[in-house]
Amino acid sequence: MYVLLTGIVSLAFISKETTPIIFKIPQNWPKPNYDFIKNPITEQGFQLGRNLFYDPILSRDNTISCASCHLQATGFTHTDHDLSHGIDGKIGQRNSLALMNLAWQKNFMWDGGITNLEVQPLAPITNHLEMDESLEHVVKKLNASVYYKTLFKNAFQDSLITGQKTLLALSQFLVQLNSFNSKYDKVTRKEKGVTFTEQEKRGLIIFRKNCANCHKEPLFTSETFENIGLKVDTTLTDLGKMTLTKNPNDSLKFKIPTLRNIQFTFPYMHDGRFKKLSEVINHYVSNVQNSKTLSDKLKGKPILLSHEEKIDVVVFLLTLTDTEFLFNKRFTYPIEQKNTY
Amino acid sequence: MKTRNTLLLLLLLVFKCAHTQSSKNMKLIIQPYFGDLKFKLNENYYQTAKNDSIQIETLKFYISGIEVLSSNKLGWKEKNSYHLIDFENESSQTISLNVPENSLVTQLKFNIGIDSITNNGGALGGDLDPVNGMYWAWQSGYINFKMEGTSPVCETRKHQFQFHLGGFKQPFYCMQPITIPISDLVSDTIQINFNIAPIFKNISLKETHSIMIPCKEAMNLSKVVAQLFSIHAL
Repeated sequence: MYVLLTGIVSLAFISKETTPIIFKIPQNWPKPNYDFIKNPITEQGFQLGRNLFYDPILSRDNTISCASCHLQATGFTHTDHDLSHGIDGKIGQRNSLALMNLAWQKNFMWDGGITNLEVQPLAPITNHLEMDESLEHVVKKLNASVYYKTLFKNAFQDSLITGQKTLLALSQFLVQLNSFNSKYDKVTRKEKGVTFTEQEKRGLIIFRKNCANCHKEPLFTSETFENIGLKVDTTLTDLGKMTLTKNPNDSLKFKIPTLRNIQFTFPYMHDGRFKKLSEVINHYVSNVQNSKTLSDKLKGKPILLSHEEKIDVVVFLLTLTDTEFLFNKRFTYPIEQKNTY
Repeated sequence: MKTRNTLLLLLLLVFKCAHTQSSKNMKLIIQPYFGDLKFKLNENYYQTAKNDSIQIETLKFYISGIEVLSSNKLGWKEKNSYHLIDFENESSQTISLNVPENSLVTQLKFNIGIDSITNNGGALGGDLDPVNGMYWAWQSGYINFKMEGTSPVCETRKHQFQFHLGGFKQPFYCMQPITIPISDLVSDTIQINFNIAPIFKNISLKETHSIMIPCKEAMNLSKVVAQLFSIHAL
């Protein structure tokens, strides 16, 4: 019903003015980091961004879209592949990250190299293993499309397409990909009729004691970079953040990803080495490799969990699944618009 | 209410000042040289101090934060001062400055490159639009200075050399401030000569043919680039 309503509203305002979208901040969440004043979110901008997100026009040979590696049903990431693949079937160097609650993020990519969401799409667009395209050429292709001319006019009252507008529109879509309706959220908000099972409760206690330092509630990430003691994969020798900063103190440090929707975002870690959550838990319990840059939180005191406790944690993590987000029709392929124009 | 009135008064005053202060249009022209020769892209091979012959295909850089200092306090600072100088596009070599009419210009200040706040500013437009090919992708940040060309001495694919200088985080914050003293300005045009030749005095193309990330080498070369600007002697 909601979709239908907004559909009607946007049709009514087409090419006249834009319909603002009010950004919802869930209760008890921190303030988002994204600058909404600079890029006010509108229905038209969101829909344009959604079109761009699903359009392979962003790639050199029009075969790869953002959605190729960021699928909604799996938390906007690429499952089943340890390393994500791109153009000409080429294999990338890292496991694609899940996309959600991006307005709260300050750094992007496993190595944190990107410091503003708006310029993030440039990375996959220009990477030779991903889309292998230039923004300049994307803009040329978009300017040649009557369909996009209309969508840009609707969103920005100007049909001249620029790199800036393309990136701003993508951000308008991306900041809407928010997940805060998992069972965990509903229990936290004390919603009627939603309660944790005894096992989930036990899992939450173990989680808070051992994991929440880095995977901080409510976003389930502390936005920091840590070396979690993974054995170096010598086929990749990925030094993480140090690759960019050249600072030896950053060696093997990677972004702490959110655990929201973790049930569906497998495989896990920057190189997708673990297929199952139980493997991840086992790593922390018995496989952490010591090194100079190992996270302080893992140094000295190993996480000791019994077999039952490990299962309890996994069961708790499943309460972070948000099906309303994973199946939200607002975020799917924009078939209804493709048919309109 | 009181503060509001004061604010209004202040605003009025500012407007009045701005109104009475007329300005003149000055032109800043960047003229490239290779030693004593006028420099052109693609056209000639130039002989470096190390006797290498080189040809340059791409040469563009950002000038930002332009400021004109005046001995009679009629200085001027350009707002949103970001200019992409691209020698492929001649019009980009001329920048219009609206300085106060009676100012006695003594110094010109600007930066080569982009400041860290702007580097973190997300998707920007105009000369800062990433379509201009002056933005890195795998890592946030503008390329302050881009020079690409060929030299037989480079043992690289197609004998190419590429210098993409940038970086906005310490210790590789590459933006360079430049101050140029100006005396006896006779017209409203300031010509700044940009002499490329010394770059190749400082690096050996045989060893250094590509700088593509924020790093120590990028810092060093950025400092060299900052020395290449001088006022055109009449």
